[in-house]
Amino acid sequence: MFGKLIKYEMKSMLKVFSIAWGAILVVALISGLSMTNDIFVISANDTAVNSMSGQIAGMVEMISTMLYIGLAVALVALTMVFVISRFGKGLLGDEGYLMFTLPTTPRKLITAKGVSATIIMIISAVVGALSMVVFILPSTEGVELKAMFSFISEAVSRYPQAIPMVIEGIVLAILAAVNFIYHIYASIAIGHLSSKHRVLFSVIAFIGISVVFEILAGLAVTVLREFEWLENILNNTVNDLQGVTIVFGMVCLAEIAGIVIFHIITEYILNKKLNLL
Amino acid sequence: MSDNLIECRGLSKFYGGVKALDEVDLKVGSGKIVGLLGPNAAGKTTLIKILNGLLSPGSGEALIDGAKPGVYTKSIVSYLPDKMYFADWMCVKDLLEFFGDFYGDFDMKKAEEMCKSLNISPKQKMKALSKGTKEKVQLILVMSRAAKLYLLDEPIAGVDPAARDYILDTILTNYNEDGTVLISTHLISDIEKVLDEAIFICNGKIMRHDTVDDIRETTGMSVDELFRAEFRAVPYQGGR
Repeated sequence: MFGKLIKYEMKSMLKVFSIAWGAILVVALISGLSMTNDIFVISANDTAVNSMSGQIAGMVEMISTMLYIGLAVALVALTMVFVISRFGKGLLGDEGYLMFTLPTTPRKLITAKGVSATIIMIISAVVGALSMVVFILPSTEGVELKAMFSFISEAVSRYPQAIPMVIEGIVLAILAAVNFIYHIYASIAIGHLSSKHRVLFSVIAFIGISVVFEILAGLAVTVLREFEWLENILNNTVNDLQGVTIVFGMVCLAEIAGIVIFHIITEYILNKKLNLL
Repeated sequence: MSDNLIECRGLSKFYGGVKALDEVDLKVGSGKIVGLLGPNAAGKTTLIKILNGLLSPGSGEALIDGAKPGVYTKSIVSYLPDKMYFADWMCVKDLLEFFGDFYGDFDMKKAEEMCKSLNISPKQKMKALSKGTKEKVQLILVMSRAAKLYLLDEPIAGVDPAARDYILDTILTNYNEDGTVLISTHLISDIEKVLDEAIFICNGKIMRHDTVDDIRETTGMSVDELFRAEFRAVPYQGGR
């Protein structure tokens, strides 16, 4: 049942996202190619800047770069719009009449949405990173890329702790993304409690929750500074990696706690206070 | 599991600041076509939503086949709401596969044949269909399940008379005869001919629950006439 929910959730998003991902990679390639001088012929006697073809090349480069940046921003916006609408409309709009009468629990419905949204976000991030490489690659003709790779492998051999730290960073980024998604879900669920002004209350809930968590985070840091036990632990670590990992572990716990709290709130409201109009 | 397919005991629900259901006691058996009849805002949709798990009971109890609304009851209840509930991105085929995937009692072949008989192509986008066709597709999906309880909320409201006949014929020829069909409507004269039992509901209270034959014998009226008599509102200045 859970797998089927994810299958349909992914199906609902992949139609649009595969086009967006394809578009951003293609535009990145075109922009990247336009930044090289290879595809435009510049006469030997004119300077690149003053010649007509040079000006056209400059314009194409500018337009395609702006298009690429525009598409990158659009991809981020598209992801946000889909996370919100697949929950707000897909569960709490008319489609909810279909979803909440399936022989499954609200917990599975919520989790399937969260997992699918996370997968889409991760793929978008990877495509975004890939598009940047594609964008830069033609200009460098692989030279800078090779230099970058050798720099990385040298840095890693000198400082092997870098790899686990990077992995920890990626895990933390994913947890933060999931936390953000569930923050949105909980806000929409709280907004659902109102019968008339659901969007407004969702926005207020989103801001309110953000404020509360900022305060809690600030309090946590203050408390941790007061108590020297953390400093003692950090001073006793053998190397940087351990220190970073301890802090990483604490932040991860905080993110996971947030996710769990948001899920509990969302599930309670969808279980006991569901009111599809 | 239980003698009665539907059992409500002291069921009440406050909804939108109003007591939508007021101490409802109800027992409905299997193998019947039952009309849930009442004027607008009588509590019909509220009762149906509690039975299919879209609303939680306020107080009291609602049981379907002896179980509280949950995963089991949702697997044996086939629900047709009074609105479109499919996702925008789906075409007819997607929706058929969706039902096939999630409901073990869904008869894909029957659903496909019924769509074909209405000249509905599986590749058509749901949102591109006309309103009447969308409603028919939703009805086909619901009636292609061999459910124990069919809950149809206003299936013939807002539909032309020819389509009403189609809908009623589809219900009659396709439902699981061991199961029960509960049809809520205020268009009683149209569905009276298919009903075994009638439940009158008004202001959240059950006013009457009888077989159609009993109603005709004891009151000498058709169900439609009895409904009009019981729920008559006096027009302004006495009417005509």
